[in-house]
Formats: sequence, structure tokens, C-alpha cells
Amino acid sequence: MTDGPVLTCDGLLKRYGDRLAVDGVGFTVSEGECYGLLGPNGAGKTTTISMICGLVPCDAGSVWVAGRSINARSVAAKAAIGYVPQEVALYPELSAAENLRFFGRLYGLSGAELARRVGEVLETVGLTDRAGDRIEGYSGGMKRRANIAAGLLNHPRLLVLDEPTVGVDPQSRNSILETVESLRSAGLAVLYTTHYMEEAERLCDRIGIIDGGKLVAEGTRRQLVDLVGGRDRVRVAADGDLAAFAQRCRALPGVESAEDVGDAVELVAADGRRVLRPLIEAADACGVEMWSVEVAEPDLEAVFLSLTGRELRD
Amino acid sequence: MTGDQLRRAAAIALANLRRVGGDRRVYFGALVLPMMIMLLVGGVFGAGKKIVVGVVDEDHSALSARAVALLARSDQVSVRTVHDAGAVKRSVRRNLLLAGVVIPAGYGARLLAGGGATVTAVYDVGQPQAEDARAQLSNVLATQGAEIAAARYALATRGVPLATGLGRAEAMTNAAFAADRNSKVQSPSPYAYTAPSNVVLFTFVVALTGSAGFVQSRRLGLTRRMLSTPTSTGAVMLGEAVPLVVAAVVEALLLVVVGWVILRVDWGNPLGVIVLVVLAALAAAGGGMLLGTLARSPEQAGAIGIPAAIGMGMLGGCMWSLDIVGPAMRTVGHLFPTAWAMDGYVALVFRHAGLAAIGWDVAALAVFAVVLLSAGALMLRRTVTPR
Repeated sequence: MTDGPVLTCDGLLKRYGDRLAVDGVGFTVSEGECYGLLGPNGAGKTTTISMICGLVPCDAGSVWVAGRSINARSVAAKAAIGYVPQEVALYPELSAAENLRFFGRLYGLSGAELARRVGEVLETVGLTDRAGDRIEGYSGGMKRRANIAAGLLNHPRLLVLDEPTVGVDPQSRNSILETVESLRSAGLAVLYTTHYMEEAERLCDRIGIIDGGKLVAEGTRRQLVDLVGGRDRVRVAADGDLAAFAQRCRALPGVESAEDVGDAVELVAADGRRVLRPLIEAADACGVEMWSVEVAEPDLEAVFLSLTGRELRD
Repeated sequence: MTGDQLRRAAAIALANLRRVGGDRRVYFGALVLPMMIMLLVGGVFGAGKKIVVGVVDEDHSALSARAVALLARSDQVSVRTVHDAGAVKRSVRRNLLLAGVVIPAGYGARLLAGGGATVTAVYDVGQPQAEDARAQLSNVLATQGAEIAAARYALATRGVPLATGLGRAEAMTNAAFAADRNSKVQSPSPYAYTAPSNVVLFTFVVALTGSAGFVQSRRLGLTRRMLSTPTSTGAVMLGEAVPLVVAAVVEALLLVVVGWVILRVDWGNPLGVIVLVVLAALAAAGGGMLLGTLARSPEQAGAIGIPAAIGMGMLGGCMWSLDIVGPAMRTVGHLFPTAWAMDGYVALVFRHAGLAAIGWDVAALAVFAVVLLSAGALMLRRTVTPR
């Protein structure tokens, strides 16, 4: 166990010919924290985590994992990292258990310890019943879960997941996200790359937005939204004197505007959730009967668009 | 490399072997198919059949008659008298004869005078028994050469007339031959050529097609994932390369054992066989490593590997003996390791040569193994090393 962040990377730079794939990226990930690298395809996410895992040498910058420096020549230091690649990097002709035993041996496990650990990670990803089946017979979601299991064998301090839900059905995706949430809760530092903002919003404590090889912004979801001046939109569907209700709403603290749109009043507020109670009181005061309230917070898609001028899935 | 890394390399090698071993098609392609080929080729062209050799005796001397008699005496040869060289060539071309021999006019006189004579031999190079025919003819000429040498020695040292000495020498040869027959000395198995041919051919087929595993590891991201663990680049390379060598050695040894036990092939010097098996497997594995790093997909590796192995086999004498092709083709053939391996096996099986006698073949195979393995390792390092 080390004090401070499990992962510290600083000034990472990687150039392929004339193309700068990663340009000065740096961030930290602490124990029990899930850090999301959010960006479109080709933004530099995979190159960044490849440098972090010592799979690609950095042209500049440094990576420290659990207090040890990582580079392309590191061997022993990689024991602290569990890497789950984007593709299902398992032998399709072997069973999940055989694949896990194989990777366990590469992590230096053997004998009873290896058998125990294989059983544990199969349990974690919910594949115990199918452990003896060949990977090639698995569904896409099961393959992904087995792929994650192989990254957990070594009790890593840092789990690096490179777009682990690409191409899986919604049910399997949910299962994978639940697994990641439980691992984070168990104290693992998780570095998660994705181009799905819903996943980043659900899983990640902090998010780094990466585009064109640069980390353009970093913070919690709220901080990122605030960074671009994002405002919540609140829609109150109601019956009664909606014009009077809208006028009363405009006077509430935190409400920037309120409009009567016929069957509802639409408000813009800095923090939609904080104005809910005053809204109900204002509706009572105006004799308005509320049917429903919807709070739409600005999402990371909007943040990304604002920061880069491009859609996340461009 | 540390013991830890060697254990990791062994784990990678075992996983690769287990992966290959789980594929039933491998057993058919690597064991059933070569056995079928050996049985089929040996059965059709060899088993229980005599080699029909057409002989044209243009000399009509006692020595030319003796040469024909020596040839006819072989269990494996059936001699047909043909009247002219053109007819022999036509008959061989039409598969009426497996081989033909033309003994030129003046043959006996030149030999008795202490000179040399050229006997023309005609073979159908597409017939596996052509090598047997060549071996039989060589044997006859060597025997007759020895008889004449003995007679000339008796003349020079004891003043025994040449005709008398020759008669005595021939009598001794006949006695030795009769003793051989009585002792039931086995003639070569009809599979004596096709068995080593398939050993060499399938050593290369297995190693070259096995390179598909390299490509698959790379394409599935397995190699990259291995490197994300505390496993060194060297251990990954070793783990990927060793299965090719193991598969090629196991394949060759299995076919040698099948040839020995089932097809009754006398392989000759066991040490020589092992050395040839191992060196050919190393050379083949080097070729497999090269192909595995150059091919873009497992399918491409297979599509290139099989014809490449067959092509090298053809040029190297696995389909027909290089002794019966022209010098240019022989030279081209020896640009490939298959030719040196075949030369070695033919010497062991047909001439019962020792390890020393196949020294050049062994040395050439060793050079091929070193060069191909080094090139394969360099290319593999380029592929595996993080960039």
C-alpha cells in the first residue's frame, strides 16, 4: 500500500511520425476512484492507456503506478496493473478457466493460489457456471466479462479498462458496469476509457475529456458542466393559472427564467434539484395542480460539444 | 532469462500447444494425411512390385552380360531386354518401364583396360521407385567395379591372368550373394523413399502452417495482453516460437515411428535420424516464425504455408529423387533445406551411412536452421516489441 494516488501520469507525449497521438496528458487516480477518459474514437485514449500499462514507450512524460515507475521496459512493476483491452484477448479455443489459469501463470500465480484466484474472479464476473466452456461458444457479453476477469487475477491496485462495453447488448453492458462499480467500491483504482457519455456519467467519479491527443478538461461531472456554464432545465406540467405560477417562479432564488408554455412551465436554473421544494410551495400558493416535474441536467455530450466544437461520436 | 520468465514462456508455449491440440483437423492434417500419402504412394508404386528395368546391351561382352545378370539377381528388379536406346526412352516415358539402362558398345573392353565407361540410365522422375532403381543400378556398377579391381590387383601382385582373377572374384560375389539370400537379408521396404519424403515434407507443412497461431495471437491482442503482465518480451517470443519447433519435431518423430513400426522402413543410424529430425524442425520453425510475422491473417499464413512447404518439398526431392534430375534443378533444390534433409535421409536409409557420412547435409541444415531462426526471431522481436 502506498500513500497518495495509485496512478500518477504526467506530461505523456507520443508521436507517430508527424502525428501527435498524445500531447502532454497527465492525471491521477486514487484508490477507490473511477477515472473516466472520455473522448471520441481516435482521441488518444488507447495510446494513453497503452503508455500507462507499459505497452507503448512514451516519447516524454512519466507514469507511476503504486509507487513504481512504469515504462515499456518495466516487467515486475506491471504486477500492480490489471489491463482489460478493448478486444477480447483470450484464446477462443480454450475455456474461460483455462484462459484464466494461463494468464494467472503469467502473473506468477501457481498451485492452490491460482485455482482459488481463478474461482474468485469467475465468481466476480458471474461466469462460474460456464467456466469449462470454450470462449468461442460464449455470447459477446460473456466474452467481455471473461476478458475483465483476466485483468483481475493479480489483485491489481489499478484496473485499466479500455472501452469494455463496445459491441455488447444492453443487459450485458449493465452487468459489466455493475461489476466495475463493485470493484471500485472494493477499493480498486479504476481507469476507464469510453466514448459513451452515459457510462462515464454513471461510473466515473472524475472524468478527463480527451480530444486530439490533449486532455481538454478534467473534473467531476458537475465541475465539467459548471466549467462550460451549463444550466439545468426544469419542466413543470400543471393545471391552473400557469402565467401567475411562472411569474412567481421567476422570483425564486436560483431561477434564471420561467415561461408558460401552455400545458407546463419551463424554468432555467443553476441547479434544478435545489429549486424543487420552492417550486412546490409556489405551485400551492398559486393554486396550481402539478402533474409532473422533469429536471434535465446538461450532459457530458453538451460539455464535449462546448469544449471541442464537435459531437462526441463524430 | 530468469527462471520466472522461463516458467512464463513455458506457460505461453503450453497454451499454444493446447490450443492447437484441441483442433481435430490438426490430427488429420498432421498424422492421418501423411500416413495416407505414405501408404498410397508406397502401395501403388512400391509394395510387392518389382522395378521393371529395360536393358539395352550394345556391348554383348562377358562384362556387359555380367552387369545385366547382377541387375537381374536383385529381388526388387525385373529385367526386360530392349533392343535400342530410343525404345527404352519411349517405354519409360509411357510408363511401360520404370527405368532403362543402356550399356554402350566397348563397355567391357574399356573396363578391362582399366578405363571408365559411361552407362546411361533413364528414369521417370515422377515415380518414387526411381530412387530404388537408381540405388540398384549403383549397387550393380559398384559390385562389378569391385570385381574388376580385385582381378586387376591379383594380376598385378600375383600374376593371375585377368580372366581367371575376374572369374574368381565373380564366384566370390556370387557366394556372398547366396549367403545373403540364405540369411534372409531384408530388401529395402517399398516405403523406403516415400517415408522420409513425408517426414521432411510434413515437418515443413506443420511448422509453416503453425505460423497461423502467431498471427492469431497478434490479431486477437493476446501478445499485447501478455506484455501487460510481468512477462518479458523474450519470454513471449520464446513461448510463441517453441510450439513450432515442438510440433515439427513431434510430427517428424511420429512419422519416423510409423514408418519403422508399420511400414518396416529401416531408417539406418538412429543418431543420424534424430539429428536430421531436429535440425529440419528448427529450420522449418524458423521459416514458420518468418511467415508468422509477415502474414496478415491466420488464413493468409495457411494459404502461403501449405504451397510453400509443398514447393520446397518438390524442389528438395520429396516427390522425386534429386539424383535423377538435371544438375540445374539439383542446384536449385539445394537452395532449400528440404533437399539437404532428403539427401541425409536417403544416405541413411539406402546407403546405411553413418552420422559422419551425412556431415555436409547436417552442416547445411544447421546453417539453414541458424539463419532462418535468427531472421524469424528478429522479425518476431520487431512485431512484439512495444513501439
